[in-house]
This record gives sequence, C-alpha cells and structure tokens, in this order.
Amino acid sequence: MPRWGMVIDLDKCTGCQACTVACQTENNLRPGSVEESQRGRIIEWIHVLPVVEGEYPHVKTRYMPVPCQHCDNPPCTRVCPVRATYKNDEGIVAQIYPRCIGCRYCVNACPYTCKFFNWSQPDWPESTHGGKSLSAAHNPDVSVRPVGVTEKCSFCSHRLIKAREQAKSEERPLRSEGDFVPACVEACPAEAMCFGDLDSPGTAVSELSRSHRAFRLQEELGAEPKVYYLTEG
Amino acid sequence: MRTTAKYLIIGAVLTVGIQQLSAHVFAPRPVRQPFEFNHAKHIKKDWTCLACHPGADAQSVAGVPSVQECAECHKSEGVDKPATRKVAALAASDKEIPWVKIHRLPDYIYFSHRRHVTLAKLDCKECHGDMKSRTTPVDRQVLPISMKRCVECHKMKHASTDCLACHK
Repeated sequence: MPRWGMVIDLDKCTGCQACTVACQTENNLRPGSVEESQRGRIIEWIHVLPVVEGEYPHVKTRYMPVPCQHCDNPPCTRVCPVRATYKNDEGIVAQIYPRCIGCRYCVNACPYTCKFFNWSQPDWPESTHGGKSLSAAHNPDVSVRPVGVTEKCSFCSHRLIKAREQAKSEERPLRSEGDFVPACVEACPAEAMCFGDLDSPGTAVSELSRSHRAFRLQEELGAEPKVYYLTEG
Repeated sequence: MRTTAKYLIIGAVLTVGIQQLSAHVFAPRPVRQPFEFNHAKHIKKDWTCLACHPGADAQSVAGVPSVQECAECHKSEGVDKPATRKVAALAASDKEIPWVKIHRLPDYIYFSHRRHVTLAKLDCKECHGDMKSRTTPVDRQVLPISMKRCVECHKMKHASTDCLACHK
C-alpha cells in the first residue's frame, strides 16, 4: 500500500501562488469576499505563508506553501465525533462532507490551520459578459461543499481514483510517482514541489524526504506530517 | 393475559401498517417520459447497450443518443409512424428529446461507469435492471441505487469500501 507524501523545496519556491490558484480551480474553492477576508474566513487549501526578515533596504522574504500536512498521527481525526475525517490506508487524511456535522473540533485541533469551515453558502459571481456563471467551470470530479461543513486539502484524491482506473485499464500497476499528481504540484512553475509514495525506494519524494535539508512543520508535536520541506541554502 | 395479547396484535398491525404506508410515501414517484420508448424493440435489433449509451464503457458518464441520431435511424427504416414523425419534427427544429433523468447521483458521489462496466466487468442490468425485456418507458429506478446496496456489492466483490473511493 503506498504512503502518499509531498516534498516542497523552499529554495525553489518563488511564492508565485500558482499552487493556490491551481488548487482553487481544481477543487471548486469558493471565491472569497472582502468581508470574509477581513474576518479571516477565506478558504485556501494550500496557502503561501510569507515570512519577511530584516529592515528596508535589506529585506528578505521567504515563502512557505502550506497544504494539509496529511499527518500519520493526525490530531484532527481523533476529535471528530462522527468519523467524518479519518486517515485511510494510503495515508490520505480524508474529509467526508455529507458526514460532517460542522462542529469545528477538527478545525481547532489542526496545529497547521489547514481545515476550513464554510460559514456561508458558496456563491460564484455571474459573468460580466452575459455568459454563464463562473460556477459553470466547476470540476465535476469534486463536490461543492455546502454551508456548515469543514473542508480541507485531499491531496486531490479524485485524481488518484482516475489514475488507478487508468492504470488498471492499461493492465499495469499504479506507478509510485507520476501517475497520481495533485493539481498544486502539477502547476508549480519552479518545480519546487514533488509528490509520490514515501515508502517506495527510488522515488524523488522518498529520497528528498531523507535528505539532510528535510524538515517538517512543528515536528515536536508528534503529528508526523507527510509534507516535508527542504531548507533554503 | 388477554389484554396483553390484544395490545400485541394491535402493535403488530400498526407496525405493518406504518411500514406499508412509509414504503408507499417514500417510494420513487413514476415520471412521464416524452416518448413511449420500447427498449425491448430496440434491443431486438441486436444492438448492445453501448449503441445508444456511448461512454458507458470508457467514461464516467453514459450518454443518450441525440435526436438527430434517432431521426437518422428511423428515416432509414422508412416507416411512417406518429413517433417517427415526432422525432423528425424535433430533429428539424434542432431541439433535443426532453428525457426525464431517472438515475441522479448526489453531487458528493464520484461514480465512474468505466470502473464498473469495463474494469469490474459488471453487467448493466446489475444496477439498471433487465432493460432487454422492458417494453414501456423507464419511469423510475428499477433497482434502488442506495449506499447500502453499493456497499453490499463492494463487499461481495472485494472492491474498496474506503469512503474516499466514492465520496468526493
């Protein structure tokens, strides 16, 4: 059974946010309003954290893309009273929307702030050119989460279903890397992100995750995230 | 003792009555289709399901033929029937047949026909019932498509029962 994971090279990340936009489009994330933004209710399954260091004119900004860390020991799944969120056999921390009762225990339990609650009904703007609403561009492989449920990055698990289906139709096993790639990894122009089976020897993720530059966010918490970062320089 | 028996009988009658009533109330209502479509008649012509429902073997969604395709076939048949005339009129006006969709999955379900038909080699009738002998239009789901039934089948055929395999 594969154990899917991601490696993000902070030396290569330029903070362009292509990953955020790709994720937004792929997963039908609602466009937020100014009011929502002011209240900290914008939903971004992968957000780029800027870290500004120094003072003008000697300023340096570091960027850190943060998707759901898909922890091996997830704090969010333990607090869910209805098992709407759980870790599956392949290590993906899933969120089953029709099962979610919107208690937000998991939102508060996540130390990486990667779970988002839908405070209002999703709404997409109408076309300004008299055409269809932007909701016409929804990805049919992903549902639109209604008000009152919590949502999160799924490592684009719908792509895994399709990749597995394709591999089976070609009568071959699913490859450890390359067959199943989340939208953010695919979109990264700097090739700062890679994805694959962490347990499969020879994959870029398994090798990079063991590199001396590799670290994980807040390792002291013991959540065992499957998203690794490579330090700069 | 007699009173207890009386209450037991009343209780049993009420339970059965409520079951029957709820089965009737919650049963899917039949819909009215725009054509008196006869599956049996069409399948007799040695067509497979895929002839009219393209994509059922290679895509997530199976389709229905356009009215142009219906008209084309019926024209070559050369029979002057009311249904043929109706199809020809619709085709000429560039309108599609307003079929009423019977099988609607909730927005949060990922379903792939290819996964079931081509990869798992399931017969169409396992979910859609026996259409080969159907002479009247399909006005309701012949077999219930419920999560219970899906999970039972997945267990029986050793397919994945992980929530993420179907929920999106």
